[in-house]
Amino acid sequence: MFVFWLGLSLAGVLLSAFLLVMKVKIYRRTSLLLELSSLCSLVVSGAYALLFSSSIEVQGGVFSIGIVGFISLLFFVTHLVAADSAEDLALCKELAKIRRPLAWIILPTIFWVVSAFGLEYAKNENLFWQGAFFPLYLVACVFYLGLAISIALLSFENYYNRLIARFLMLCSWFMALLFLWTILLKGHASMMSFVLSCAVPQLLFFEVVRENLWGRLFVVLCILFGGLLKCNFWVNLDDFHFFTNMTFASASLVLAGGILFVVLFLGVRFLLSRFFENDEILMGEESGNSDGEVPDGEEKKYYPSFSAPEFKVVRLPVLCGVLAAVAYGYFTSDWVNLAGPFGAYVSCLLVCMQPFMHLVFSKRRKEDRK
Amino acid sequence: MSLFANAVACLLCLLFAFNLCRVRGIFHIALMIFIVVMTSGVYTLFAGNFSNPALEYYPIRMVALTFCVFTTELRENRRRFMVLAQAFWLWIELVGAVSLYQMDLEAPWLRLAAIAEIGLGCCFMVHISKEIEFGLIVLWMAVWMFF
Repeated sequence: MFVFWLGLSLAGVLLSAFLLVMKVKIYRRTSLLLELSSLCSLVVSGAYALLFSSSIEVQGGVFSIGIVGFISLLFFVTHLVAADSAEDLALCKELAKIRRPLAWIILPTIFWVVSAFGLEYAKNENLFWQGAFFPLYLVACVFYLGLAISIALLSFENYYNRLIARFLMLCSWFMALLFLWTILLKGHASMMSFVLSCAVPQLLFFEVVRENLWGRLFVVLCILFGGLLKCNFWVNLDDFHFFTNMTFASASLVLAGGILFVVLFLGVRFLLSRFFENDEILMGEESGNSDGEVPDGEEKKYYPSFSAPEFKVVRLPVLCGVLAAVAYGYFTSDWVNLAGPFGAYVSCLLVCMQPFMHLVFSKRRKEDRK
Repeated sequence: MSLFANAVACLLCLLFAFNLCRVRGIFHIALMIFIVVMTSGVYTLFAGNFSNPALEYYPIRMVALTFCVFTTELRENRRRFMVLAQAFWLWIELVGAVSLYQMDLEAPWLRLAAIAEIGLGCCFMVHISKEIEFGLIVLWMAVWMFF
């Protein structure tokens, strides 16, 4: 359960950052939901970690997840404050400028953290998964779970994003291929998980299922449960371990995790509705019929190398981050687990400070002119 | 994998990229990528020896090379996607190299350095002409074949 919620905690923000970097424009509510779900999942995984603190060994990987959680929080808060509803319009504009640079830092950080986690797990915990394929498979699963949970959350908000549903359907084929490759490489894999997370999503081909709220929910819940079984298989290497060892206590724990997530998510969403009274930021108040893609209003402009606005925002912080990572790696000899996330942490902090610095300097300039 | 099989894989990647350039629309592109992944897997299955751990990620390396070649045909945001495709290739190679190193096998560090250098070089390009496109494809093929 801990691994499952940990995966979900990276999934939402990974997907949101990926879509931002690839310039796929989606409504703010979709990306906000994804980022919020990540933070709520992180809290749930933290609760599981506290509950089983005796059996979970605190290593560099855990700290790196914490760093990703902090960066995700920065990403989410930046997104919220950049809303037009806030009073200081200049600050909003400045914060909106750092959204994509933050995504450029977050995306490789998550790849780094998941890969390092997979490699370390395969080396120290379960030699069966040793090899180059497992970390790639982990990242693919995290991405896939992110798509599934976004559809589930949007469904609860009475909203349907066709673009993400299409992505999900396409990704299910790739997941099926990766599953077959796992069988070829390792000899066996979780069949139950394959049926739930790769075969069931093909139901989305039928309009009856795709356009029906309960149909969509059924499919995404199957995918999430399939993901849970997959995590169970990665740890125990037994397809039926989850069911054969199911006791009342473990079933209650599974349920409690889900309930905690829903309560947290709805609670924060309710708080946001109260504090940010803006039509755009309230999530899912309309039953949208669009496919979730926002028309491109930006003027297409060519920028020579190293002169795009995003690069100008990101260059100095990333340089400082790389230096911090090198210094950290040099002094601690930990080049794999924490050097990358630490560098990303420094870079993100510096990127987030830039709008405030700009505002302070611009105010001073205005005062000087007067 | 033998040198000949490696060369055939490289040619297959060029073929995939050529076909990928001709499709339009996200659904068709995704379908094409699915076919690319499947064909790469089947090719690796029949052309290589599965006891070799380096073949675990061979199909995904083929997909990465396909993406790199494909980006030369893009007309918008070409430099961005070129760098992204090479970053993807670099990530796959890095994970593969680290996992091979963990198994006390020889890891292709030189290949990693070569991809990183080409990727960094792409960041500096202003206008990518047809000649530079061709040069890049040749460089990628050389990295694939000789490192």
